[in-house]
Amino acid sequence: MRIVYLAVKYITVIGTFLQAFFEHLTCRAYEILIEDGRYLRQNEMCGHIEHEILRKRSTSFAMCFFPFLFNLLIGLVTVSVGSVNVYYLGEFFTSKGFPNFLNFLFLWVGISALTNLFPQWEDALTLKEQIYGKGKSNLFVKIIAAPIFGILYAGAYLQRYGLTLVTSIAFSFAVPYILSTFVPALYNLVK
Amino acid sequence: MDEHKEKDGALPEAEQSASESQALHDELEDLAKVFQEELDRAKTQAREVAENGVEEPEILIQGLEDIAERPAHRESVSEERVPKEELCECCGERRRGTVNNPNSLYCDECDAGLRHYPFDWLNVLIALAAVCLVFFGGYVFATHTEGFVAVCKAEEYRRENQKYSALDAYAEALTVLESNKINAENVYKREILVASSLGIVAGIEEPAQHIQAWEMSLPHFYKVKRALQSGAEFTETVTAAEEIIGPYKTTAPEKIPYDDLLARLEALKTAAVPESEDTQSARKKGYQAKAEKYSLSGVLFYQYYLALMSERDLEVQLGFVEEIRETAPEEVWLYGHFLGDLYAKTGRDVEPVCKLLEEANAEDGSPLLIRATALRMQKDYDGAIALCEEQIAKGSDVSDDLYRQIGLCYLLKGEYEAAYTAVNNGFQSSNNPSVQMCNTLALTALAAGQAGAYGEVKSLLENSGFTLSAEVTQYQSGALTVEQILTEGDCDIS
Repeated sequence: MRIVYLAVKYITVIGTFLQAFFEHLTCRAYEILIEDGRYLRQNEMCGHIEHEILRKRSTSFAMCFFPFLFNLLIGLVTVSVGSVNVYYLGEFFTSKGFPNFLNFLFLWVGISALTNLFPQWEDALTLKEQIYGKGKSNLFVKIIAAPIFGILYAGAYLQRYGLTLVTSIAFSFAVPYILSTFVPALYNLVK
Repeated sequence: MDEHKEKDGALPEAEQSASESQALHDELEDLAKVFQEELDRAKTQAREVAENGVEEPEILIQGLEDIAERPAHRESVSEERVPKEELCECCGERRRGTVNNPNSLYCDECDAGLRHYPFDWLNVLIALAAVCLVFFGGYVFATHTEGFVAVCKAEEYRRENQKYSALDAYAEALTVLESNKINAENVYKREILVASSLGIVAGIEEPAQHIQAWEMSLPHFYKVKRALQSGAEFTETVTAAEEIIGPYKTTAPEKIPYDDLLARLEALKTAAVPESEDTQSARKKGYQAKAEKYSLSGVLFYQYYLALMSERDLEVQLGFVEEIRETAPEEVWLYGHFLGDLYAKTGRDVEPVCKLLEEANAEDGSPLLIRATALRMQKDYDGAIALCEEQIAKGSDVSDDLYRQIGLCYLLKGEYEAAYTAVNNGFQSSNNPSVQMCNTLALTALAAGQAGAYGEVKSLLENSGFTLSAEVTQYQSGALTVEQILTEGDCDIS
């Protein structure tokens, strides 16, 4: 399973790198102590930053959420461009007949970023403990945090086994159809 | 001495103690003397070195050794003071633990440093490049939005099974995409597939020129390749069949050599298509489907057409059309309308065929006409008229034909004036009236006693290179009645 995990990490190396970079950035912003700052290690920490145990709930949430948010934004934009151009329009070649590598680059970057959205499993468990641990939070926080926590937790679990590559590819196929539900109306409104 | 010891035991002990003290004193004096001598010698040497500097390197080396020894000495001191397991994990020099966290594995300095772990400039550069790519992606998406929106519109029509509208929308979308220099192969692909499903064979090679020839071997273009292949085969079949039956299109049905022509058409089923020069030159431009055999469904269609021309029994005609359905069930555009029409005229249930046609293309008006014909054949004239009027009110695309069906019903009801009015409405609403419409108008004009209108239609047909149909002329001569025309043979005006 570790080989699968590492293979997915290296196939989606740009997303792996970006996730580690944003974790690093979050650590700097929240002054979290980094124990090992290498981004691409050949172990379970590939694409993650090894940091101290997080004791504050807000820090723990930030460590899980912000890298997710930044990679999601990058992933959504690039996968939208890539999947519309490649899957929907089929712009495999330029009008002059040359292969349109740029569209494939967008698609790869998008899928890579979406594959590496989620926090490392230990961080997700820490967040779980700090939100849903006994006496840690009130009911309001638990309810408000539930949707995003659910996504982060489930995603972190899938990411452990490299399954997020499958989900992100599936999502990339669906993106043009999702966009087609609101982009024409939005375009006509703006136009 | 021994004697003295024996006489007075205390005195010899005091003497012994005094002698030991004297010995210790002497020894210390000797040591002081040795130290003094050594010190003097060292001072003398230092003075000599200071005077002539000969042994300076040795002194320097000695000095460096001293410096090297000092940390070792100090380390040993600190090892004594801080146990190794309590040293900072990062620097290994200072004691671990910070002010905020005494249990920290790191010292204060290392803790602060690790909380501000530096970024590698290359990593920052890559991250910036990724962010730039995102912005560039936004720009690329913006340039594609107009084309994307146009394709979405076409896709919506296709999903709603409105294939005529979809085809128009695809053509519009491709105009937009081409103006933005976007080579959208999947849109060409969808346009070809929609056109093919409507039986539009002519012109589908043009969009195929935008797809690389080698791509046609890939799985996602398999359907396109097959559609182009079918189209090429059908085109070749039309050419070959027209050569066979074309000369007899204006021949009287009884004079058509039906069996001979049917055999010649039958031979096409197994014949190979001769390679033409046009095909060879076109193939050099890009992908060009090459027909190696004739379309079986196409040959069957021309056999049906021959039976229709020869006014063969409806069951004979139906036999050919049903064979087309069995051979190529997906080609609803080819057999659907004729099958429904023949079912209606032979009193069969038309609903399954109508549903099939509606599923193939929601914009197809054929099911409506088939239902109206079926009601007319069942002598439910009012039902047929009501159906047609309802659909005309809804703005049906086949309003002109619906008016014609209303006219036929009124003819059968004996209301000739109403029949003429209805057919004339159809004639007026049609942009390009068919020969059948003109003949129906002529018949209703004759029936209603509209001699002027009849003359106009006759001259219109003759000016266009056609003649009035046999039914009309025979009705005019009194050889046929309206009932005979509309209930026998083809049950319609040709």
